[in-house]
Amino acid sequence: MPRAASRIGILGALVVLGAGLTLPWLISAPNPVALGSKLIAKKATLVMLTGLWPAGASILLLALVGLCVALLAKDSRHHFVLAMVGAVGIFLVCALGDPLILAGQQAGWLHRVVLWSSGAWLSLAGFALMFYGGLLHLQKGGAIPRPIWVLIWLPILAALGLVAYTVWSGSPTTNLILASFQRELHSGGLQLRLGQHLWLAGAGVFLSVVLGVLLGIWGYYNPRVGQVALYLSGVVLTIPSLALFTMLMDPYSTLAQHSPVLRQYGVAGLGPAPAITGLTLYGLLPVIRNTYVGLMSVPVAQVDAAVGMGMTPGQVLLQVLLPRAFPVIMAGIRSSAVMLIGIATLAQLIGAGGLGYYILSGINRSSVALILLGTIPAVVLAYGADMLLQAIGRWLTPRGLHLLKGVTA
Amino acid sequence: MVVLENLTKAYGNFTAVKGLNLSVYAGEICVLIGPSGCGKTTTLRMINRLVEPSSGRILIQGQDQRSLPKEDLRRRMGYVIQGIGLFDHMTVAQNVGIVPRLLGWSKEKIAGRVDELLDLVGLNPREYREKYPAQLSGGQQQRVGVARALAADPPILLMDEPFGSLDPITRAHLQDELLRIQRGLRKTIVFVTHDIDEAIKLGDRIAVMKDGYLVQYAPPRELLQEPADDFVADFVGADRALKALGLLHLAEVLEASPPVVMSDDPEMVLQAAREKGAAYVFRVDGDGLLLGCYEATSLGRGRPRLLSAKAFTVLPEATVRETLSAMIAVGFRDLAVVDREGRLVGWVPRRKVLAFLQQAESGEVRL
Repeated sequence: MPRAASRIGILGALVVLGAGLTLPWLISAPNPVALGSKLIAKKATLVMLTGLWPAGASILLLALVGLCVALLAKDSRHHFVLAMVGAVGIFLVCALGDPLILAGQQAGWLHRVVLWSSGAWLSLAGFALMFYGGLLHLQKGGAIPRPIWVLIWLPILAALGLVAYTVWSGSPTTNLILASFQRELHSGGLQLRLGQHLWLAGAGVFLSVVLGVLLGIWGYYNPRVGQVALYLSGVVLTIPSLALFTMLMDPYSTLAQHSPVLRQYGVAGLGPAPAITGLTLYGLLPVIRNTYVGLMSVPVAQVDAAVGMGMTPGQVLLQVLLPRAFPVIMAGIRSSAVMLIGIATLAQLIGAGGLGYYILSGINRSSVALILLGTIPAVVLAYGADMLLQAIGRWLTPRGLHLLKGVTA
Repeated sequence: MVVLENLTKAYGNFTAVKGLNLSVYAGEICVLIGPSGCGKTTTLRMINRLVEPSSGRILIQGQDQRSLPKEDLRRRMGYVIQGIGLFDHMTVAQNVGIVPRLLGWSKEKIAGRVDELLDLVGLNPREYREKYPAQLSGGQQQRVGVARALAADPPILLMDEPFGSLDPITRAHLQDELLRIQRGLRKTIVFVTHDIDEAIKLGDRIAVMKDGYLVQYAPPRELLQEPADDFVADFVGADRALKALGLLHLAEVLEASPPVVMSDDPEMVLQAAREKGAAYVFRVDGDGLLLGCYEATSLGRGRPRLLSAKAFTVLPEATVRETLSAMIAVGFRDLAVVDREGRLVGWVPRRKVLAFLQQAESGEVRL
């Protein structure tokens, strides 16, 4: 086997060939609840969808080409082809969604409610692996000129565009997930829950950053305080989130009963107030820990020089300690943000809304589509927040620190 | 200029500095030296109040240092430390400009001052101004450290083992640079080190400390010639006589007119050798540049062979110690004194060195 063969690419091609062509692509039932029932639900493999044999053939062909290229790849041009095969495959799987379902329903293979099943998902994953495998070697080689490089992303963008268009346009789609996305988007429900989610997680992150950085700084100057704060915020993390939210309901309802002013501002035992409090408590640990550790790891000589040159304690903190520790603190803020966006899905349990609404109603109604309607935006949100904070962190990190080894934003 | 009166610092049961009295005159380098834990760094840090004395006081230009707020006091003293402590997130220019900025100088004035100082410490401002500490070598970083300490032109400079973490060549180089800068600026410098050679090279006066006490405070030569007790004698080392030679200039053993010829005539060579009682005769050209030497004892009938004189030369600014070392290295022969242009300016006859050492033995010259 040539040394440049892409193992990830081979794996991807085998996944498509194996799972994609044998496992069911679609699962259908008369209604969403029945999807879980083996007796009523129907499953359709790609091979069964005879009306669309060119689709099945092209996926098979693409996977075979990908396998050959991945096995025989020698230089970055071959890996470029591999990545391209992966990208086109992703597009193809996405584009096949609706036509496959229609064909299946016409042929009588499928009920009214249809959902993608393991075959489709694994094919998507397999092509993604081929794409990733090719990209990995491309970056190592780097012999492909930039304009051609960009071409790899075109099928991916086209696939995303297609999905977005289907959801956006309102043209009826038979895919249950897309349909539920479509319904919630056009009724404004998705925007509402997304907004609630952002508000819950955002407020939690904001408060835990403010409190956490202050506590971290206090801990730096007073190690005993630092130890206690680290210990307590560690203990908070061990409390199951559901329990924490529930524990906070009682104090807040008492508070609301005794203070009409607070009640006026919407503070109650249920709703955003206890949820944001709980999220803040969860978000504290990474921020406190990274602030404390970051400040502690500022070289002693630099602090000594700063004091010895006549900086006041405030100047030492603002001009030396915080800028120097910034990348570490920012890393703490990032992990806090990602964590809180995830935990905020549980806030619906105490009536605070957010994307957790979809997940919980999905569980109640055994609707995979609803669960995904809550999960996918939450994942995208967490990933987006991480990327955004990373970019902000890089941008704000003083240039001299980028040159140091072992310090990253 | 800087007067320490009865200075004591205790940490619980441990007393780091015990009743220290020391005055440093304006414009001199005072070196604090001693084994680790002797209290030298604590003493230094009490001068800029990084450590508060338990008792006693410190006068700066006749004024008690506690009459000023700590920060103001520190801004009037340059501070250089072994870890250098340049701020990684600031450029070289920002690092050097810190104290002027704290003092509220205008941007233009700071920029001008930064360039001036980088020039002074031997870094090209245009090249180094915008660099970050991570892009500099250790030696360059400490040059910036020295520039930073000098930024607001403080009369006093506190240096805590500033060259301790550098390799020997860089260290020697920076020591020379410090002496050069000091000749121009005449700062009052308190310098902590544990390296006796560094102390002898830099110090106008050396304060030897042990267990928090001041054992001896004297100029380097006196310290080498008359160590106050066995501790100091041990500390300056068994080779203290040699170290003392390092403080004496070559002039002690130099003779002005060397045996010299301008041709390879054997007669002339022999005559020059006899005249000066020399075993070797130096050959120069019309400009006085040294070309080589002839061995007078092995003159045959033909033209004498010109030998390379490279190993037989010392620079005019060499010390007696360096001269002696060079002489031993070539087998105890006469040496030529040659300036940087290669011109023969004198010689060191071996008989003169022998006579000098005999005088030293008999006590006529004190080493």
